[in-house]
Amino acid sequence: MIEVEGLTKRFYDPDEVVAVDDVSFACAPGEVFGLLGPNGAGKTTCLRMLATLLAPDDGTARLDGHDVLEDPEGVRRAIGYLSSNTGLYGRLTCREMIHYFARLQGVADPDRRTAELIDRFDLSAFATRRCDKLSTGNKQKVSIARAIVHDPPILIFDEPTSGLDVIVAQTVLEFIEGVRASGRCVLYSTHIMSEAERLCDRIGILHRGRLLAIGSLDELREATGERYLESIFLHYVRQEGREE
Amino acid sequence: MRLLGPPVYDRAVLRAIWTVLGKELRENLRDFHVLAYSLGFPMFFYPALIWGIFQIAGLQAGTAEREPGRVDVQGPEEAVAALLVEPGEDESGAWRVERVRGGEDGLLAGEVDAVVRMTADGEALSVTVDHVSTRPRSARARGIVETRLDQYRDGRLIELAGDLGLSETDLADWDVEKSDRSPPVALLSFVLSLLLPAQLALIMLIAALYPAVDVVVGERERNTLETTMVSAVPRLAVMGGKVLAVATIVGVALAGNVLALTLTVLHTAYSLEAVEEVTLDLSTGDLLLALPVLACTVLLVGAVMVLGVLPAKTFKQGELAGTLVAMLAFVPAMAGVMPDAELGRVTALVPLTNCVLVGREAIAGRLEWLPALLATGINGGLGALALLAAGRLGRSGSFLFGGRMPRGLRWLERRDDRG
Repeated sequence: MIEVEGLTKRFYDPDEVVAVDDVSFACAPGEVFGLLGPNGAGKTTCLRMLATLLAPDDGTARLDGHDVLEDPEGVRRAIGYLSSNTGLYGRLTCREMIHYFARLQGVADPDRRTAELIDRFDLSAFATRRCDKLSTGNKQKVSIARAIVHDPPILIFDEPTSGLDVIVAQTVLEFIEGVRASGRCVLYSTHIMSEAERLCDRIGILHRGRLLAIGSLDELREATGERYLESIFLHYVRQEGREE
Repeated sequence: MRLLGPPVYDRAVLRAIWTVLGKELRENLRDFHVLAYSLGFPMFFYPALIWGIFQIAGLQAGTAEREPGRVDVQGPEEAVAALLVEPGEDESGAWRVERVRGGEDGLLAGEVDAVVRMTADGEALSVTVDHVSTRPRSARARGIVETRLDQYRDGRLIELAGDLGLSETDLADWDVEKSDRSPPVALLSFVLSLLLPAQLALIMLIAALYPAVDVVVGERERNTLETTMVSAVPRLAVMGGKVLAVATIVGVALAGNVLALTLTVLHTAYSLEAVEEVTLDLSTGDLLLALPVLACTVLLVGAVMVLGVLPAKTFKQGELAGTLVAMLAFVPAMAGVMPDAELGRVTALVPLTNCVLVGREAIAGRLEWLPALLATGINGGLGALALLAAGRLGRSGSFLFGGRMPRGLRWLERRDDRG
């Protein structure tokens, strides 16, 4: 469902910085693939390329059979994208916000779908409240509803629990577990090891733009001889340091 | 048909443009700043301005009536008496003079408004009026004195004529009768043809500035742009909806401004009891020729303003860039205000100049179809080009995530950093 091959992105500000360096991985339906890395590792840039928000300099990616360069609109139809700094339109109400994206995504019956999502996320009491007046938890629920309004087969989450308290973060994590059960493909980036351990079927360790290792938690444990994901991560980072 | 991107006839694209337009209007019309800056100002500025002027004028008139001119009069008794008319003797209550003493020292100290020194030499009278022209009250007192002296002179002439056995009419054997034979140009039409087109150009630029910054830079700052751009619609459609939203707000501001100005002029005319002179001779044909020019200019202004603020990284930078665009755009608009400027095949090709001149010609009732058509084409074409450029720029990562400003605009960035 997601096939990434040799994805590379460079920025010039003013010197060249390779933000993502020859990254390749794949993610199957019903799988949660985690991109694990510290801040500045290149996770967000990588996901933005997959969401067609940034164009890769080298390499390519196909999502649900659509190439990010040749058919960006097809890619955007197939994905739901949510990042930690995704904003809501503060002057729109909760209902208007979801309805707007339903229409924008070409949902056949936007009214029905909006009502369905408001009901599903228990937002009925806040449906006519402006988004800037919502609590953080409800804002995040509206953001998730917005991301899945067109019922996409692929979901891309870029540190969706960053800045959230434990209770709100729990809502997000439970939602992702539900999504996996429904057979969708989930790409999940985080720097929180416990989240990766809990959610991800396979994990890619990203550091300084390079993918150092890919595998399930058990495979990574076996390869490194470490028990905890934090130790596994540090193992690969130190190994890379020694090689350099 | 493909035009640098998606097929423009695609129903999905049109639906996306319509959806974005609706959302932008809804959001912007709930924003106090847009309501105040882009709509409130154009609609209420002129009524408030004229009301204020009337209030100040009324206040000044009332104050002037309460304050008689303080005049130190020296000279022959008869001449002095002629200047010092008792209240009630004169028809105009405003022409009151109060006799004071103080001479030149009093005048310079502000205790006296005018000093009149009259010297009789037989029948002739030599008069000197000292006053301070920079003091309104002194200038007004001088005017009162001059009027009274004129009346006194006329009275003396009539007396002298009587002594010589002549009648009053013998003295005034001819008068100049003023007769204006020019075509009856309506007052409103004349005033509006001079002021309205340039004012509308100014209102367009003012009304477009804040919404243009808000729909792109504001959205990026609030992290909402990313969510829209990751939707399955062409970027050009998103940008098209945004430009149309700005253009719609500008259009509403223009309509509101014209309505406010018309009501203000009518109110003023009623106040001055000159309502019969307020007629507008705008023909339907001229209106039909001028409206497309106005609509295309509104689109052009909206698209250029959005394009101009796109590279800005912060709202503050956006306001700076938008102000710069507005100032540059106002230059051709001002060129159209020049008295010698005429709407021809060349001026019809200069955006904003053409809009001002088309407005002027339409209000004056002499708009020709060819320049109007040229102006519609060039403004609409440039508006579409600016929209396409905005759509292309909107695809770049630096636009979406606030990368570095283009090289030519980095001075804005540095200024912003300096705070």
